[in-house]
Amino acid sequence: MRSRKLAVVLTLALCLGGALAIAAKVMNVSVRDGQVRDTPSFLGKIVGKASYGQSVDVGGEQGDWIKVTLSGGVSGWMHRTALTTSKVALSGGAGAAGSVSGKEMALAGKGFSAEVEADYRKSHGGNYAAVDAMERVRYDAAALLAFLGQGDVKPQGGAK
Amino acid sequence: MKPRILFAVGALLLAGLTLFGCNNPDAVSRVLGSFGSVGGAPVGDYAASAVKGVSAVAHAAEDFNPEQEYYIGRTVGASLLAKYKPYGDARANAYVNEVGQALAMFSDMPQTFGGYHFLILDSAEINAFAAPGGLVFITRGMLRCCAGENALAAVLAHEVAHVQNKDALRAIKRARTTEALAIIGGEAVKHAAGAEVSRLTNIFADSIGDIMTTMVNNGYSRTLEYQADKTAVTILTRTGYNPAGLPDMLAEMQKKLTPGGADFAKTHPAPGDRITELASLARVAEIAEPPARVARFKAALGNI
Repeated sequence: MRSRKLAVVLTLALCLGGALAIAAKVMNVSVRDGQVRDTPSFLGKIVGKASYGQSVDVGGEQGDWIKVTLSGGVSGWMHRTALTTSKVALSGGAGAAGSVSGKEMALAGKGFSAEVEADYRKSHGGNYAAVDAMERVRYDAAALLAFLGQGDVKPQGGAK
Repeated sequence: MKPRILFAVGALLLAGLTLFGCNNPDAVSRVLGSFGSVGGAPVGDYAASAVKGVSAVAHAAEDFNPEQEYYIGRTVGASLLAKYKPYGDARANAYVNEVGQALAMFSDMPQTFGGYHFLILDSAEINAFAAPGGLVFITRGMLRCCAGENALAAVLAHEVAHVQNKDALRAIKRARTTEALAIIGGEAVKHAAGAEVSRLTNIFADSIGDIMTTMVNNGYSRTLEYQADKTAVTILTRTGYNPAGLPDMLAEMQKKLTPGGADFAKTHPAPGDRITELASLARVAEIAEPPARVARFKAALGNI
């Protein structure tokens, strides 16, 4: 029977180990301007910013939100979809250069990047000015929720 | 006993690895997450369809990282805007962005590398396009099919669904993706040298070609379209719009579409079929929209 107990203990330890590995992991920012908020909600105050490719320490999660700590010590919540467990490649000259490790920078300049876009534009053209103008139209979460409210649109569960 | 213990430990390890998703932890967590809540709200019956979409897409989603998806999307946008002129009305565009960006916030992919941005195209054609990463285009002709903000929200939610499901990226031929990833992943190349850039640019150009052909000429498969409609219902419901806006808009579109036309008539299943497919999720209904919503829709898009 001892060996059976041992098996149970071992499996428990393995399961816990797995869970801890998930909880104590590092993730990478997968959006250009990652926002770190003081509460797990788009309405939370922005307490920090994290750039594409930057690593953050994961300290827990709540629903779709992940508790993170930045290298400078700032901690807060980031939406799950702004983070990835994969290593993300950085394009050459990305703003995040100062905040990433050498290993991550080794991937710089690879893939479909600003450089490839510039090369493509030379031969194919395209109305990039209109795309740039389009990208400048941004509303923050609070403004969007206010907009919904003014139109009597009520998100499920309220605007948490 | 020993071999049994070993076996048990081994099996558990395997199960653990599968559960914790070594292959695609993001997809796993997204699937789990979408069962949870948006702004604390239970997602309810609609979650199942969205989850199905997300898991089916996990493979394609892994191929390109968010930054590459962003650059593909920009060039798809720039190509569309070489073909269609942007509609210059700032108020109308601001309004479409407010509705669209609010909806995106309640999708399963509220954050993308460059964010969601919407633009009206100055064309009488009934059409809408979603480029990878969140650039969404909608024609004046399509807006004329929208009786009110609910219907507009339905069209935009369908496009956000295409972004979330990464449908445009699926149009890229597998061989190109493989070739691109071989170059990108090549250990020898620390920084893309000239030759690599021009090889990548060629693959990039072909990939854009694949997407444009599918988006503008052939359309996605019926399965992807129906799935986008179902995801749209989820997004509309979470945001607080009556999902009946979708079949309503489709009924209006059915009246306006010219059979054999080079727009939605060509690239999408017939509106009637989409309404039938949606029947269990959202019914055509007379929607009395609140006065404030009616007024702002009229002010922004009354003359579209």
